[in-house]
Amino acid sequence: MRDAIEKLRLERRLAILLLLAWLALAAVARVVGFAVISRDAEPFPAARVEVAE
Amino acid sequence: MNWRRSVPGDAEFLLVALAALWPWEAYGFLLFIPGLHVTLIGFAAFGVIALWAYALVARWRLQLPFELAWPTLALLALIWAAAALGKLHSPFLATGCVLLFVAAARFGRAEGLVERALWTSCLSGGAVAGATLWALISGMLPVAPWVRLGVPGVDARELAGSGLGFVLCLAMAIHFAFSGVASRTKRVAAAISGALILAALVGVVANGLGRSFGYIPPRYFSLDGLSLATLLSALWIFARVAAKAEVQRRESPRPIYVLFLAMAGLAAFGLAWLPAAPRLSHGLLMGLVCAGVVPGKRRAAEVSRRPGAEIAAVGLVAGLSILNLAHVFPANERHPWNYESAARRDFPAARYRALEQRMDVFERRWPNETRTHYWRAKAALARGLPHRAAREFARALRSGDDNRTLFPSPSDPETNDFVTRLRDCCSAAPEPKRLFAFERALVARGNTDSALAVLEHQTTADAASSRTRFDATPLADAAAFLLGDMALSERLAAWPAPKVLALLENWGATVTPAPQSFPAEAAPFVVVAQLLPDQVELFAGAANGSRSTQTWERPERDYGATAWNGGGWTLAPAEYGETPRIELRIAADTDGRCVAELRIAPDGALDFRRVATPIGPTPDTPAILVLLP
Repeated sequence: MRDAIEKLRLERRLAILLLLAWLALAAVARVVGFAVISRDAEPFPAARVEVAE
Repeated sequence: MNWRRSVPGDAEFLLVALAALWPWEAYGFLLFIPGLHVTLIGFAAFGVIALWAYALVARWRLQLPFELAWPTLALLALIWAAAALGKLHSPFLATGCVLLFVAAARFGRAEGLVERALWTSCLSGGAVAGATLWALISGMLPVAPWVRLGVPGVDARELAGSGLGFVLCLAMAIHFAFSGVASRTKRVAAAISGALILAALVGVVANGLGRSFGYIPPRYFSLDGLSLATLLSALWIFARVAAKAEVQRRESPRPIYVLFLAMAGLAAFGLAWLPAAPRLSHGLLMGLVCAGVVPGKRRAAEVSRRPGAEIAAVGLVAGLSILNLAHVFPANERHPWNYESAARRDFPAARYRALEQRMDVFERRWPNETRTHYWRAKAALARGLPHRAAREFARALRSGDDNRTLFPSPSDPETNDFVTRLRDCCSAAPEPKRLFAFERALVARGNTDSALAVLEHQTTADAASSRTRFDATPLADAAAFLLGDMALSERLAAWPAPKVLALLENWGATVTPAPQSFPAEAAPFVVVAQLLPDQVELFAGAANGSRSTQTWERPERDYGATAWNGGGWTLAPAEYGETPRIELRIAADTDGRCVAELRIAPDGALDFRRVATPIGPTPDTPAILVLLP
């Protein structure tokens, strides 16, 4: 019983750590993503469209 | 129904089937079930959730650890609260994800079921990768996920979803190939599958990165309170399942726990960067991982006792794929050939340029398609271009030949509605007489008598021209050409000549006496030029019986347009030497340069020559020149 409670506590601590780590990663991704990857949202280029036949 | 013998076995079979189907989400349009308006993936997920609901009602046990049960219930409540406040667009999909997680976590707790499901996903991912590689190499439209609805680029969300799916399948392939848990045959199969997945992943990403659109980094930190609470609830469940995997790994270092952690880490990393929309597969995989890490006794799996059902499932998948490749159902919105559903979205949003470019793609692939012209006609009418609308409407009503088309021609109610709107548009114009779009649409629909009656009622010859006498045949031919049916020429030629002339004058014709050097027997002489986004149409007719029509394709289409009465393009006689000429000039387009010229040979033969290619916006009205004797 005590082992089970200890395991649940360990799980909870790990889950909190993982959640915080992910939030930190998302914050970095937010800044870097906008700076590096962000592109024009226009799906149709100005030139004539091409399609695979 | 005997609960113990039937429901868990059915649910396990459906879970393994879902594990085989989820890597095909990018090709979900192939698994569309007509009539039910869902894909086979959605249908199987619904089946698992229904069995879970039945089990819940029958036994009143959630069979989910408390530390996961309460955030799950909270997440469901938050999803529907956000949906009620209009902050969540797809509450049913989100609910389906959550319920599939719960159902997979419950039914996945059979001995060896999770490993079997992940092995199936690994092989299925390899098959998807093979199909994708083939699509990349052959360039076939129906199986390339990044060519969607004629859009020549990659929707960043689609790319992210497909990429994440490939990455997860690759992790599974590496696990089965190198962890030593599988037989030699399985290891080889997993290695081949992994190589295919890696190649497809590189191919898709390399092809997609330069052509992706709509990428917006996830805005997790600018969400409102309710949406943020929903996100955190989902993340908490995710983190808790990952933490369980880590605790289990510390207790007994089995390779499957490493796979679970790798999958969780890859998904978490991907979702932090990429704008992936929720998918049923997210709920399924998290449920399977949860089933694999929740401690406790496992019951014996029953799924292997259903060989007949497996054959039936493979047959169903093959049958649906063939059906959806052979026929495009309008409700199958994700089908890359379903321009109808795309147009239904583009049209109300006034994305006419996108609509026209999309139709270009489909008309190049299916030249006999007529319904694309119906949508072009509607777009032109909405932009206030009645002549172009009537022209496209006529194309939409042309009888298709025996070759296959994707969608049928417009129905009678649709054509009636269009003609009514066109009539209203013409009536509301500042100079309704100048427009013959409504009459042209009537002719296209076969109401020739009505069209001629309307024209006859509108046209009155003035007294001055009534005194002159000339042959009306070339003028009638020109009017018939403009109305889109040369068979009308005979009936128009039966009108008094001044009335036919007045008709062309109403339509903006420039009427001028033929110059001295012009062959006397050729007058009256008519030249007509119509400029369309994709074509230039020319007509010339002389009193001596010479006729010439030409249609030139415009290599660069331009969907811009000047106003309905936009001028700037003219037909005018040029220096009369030995060979009389008439030049077509488009001032707004080629800086007044001559675009085309008509030469009249000494024997009366007419010869159109292309001088320059018209580019730029297209005027909606034709240019008409009449040279009278």
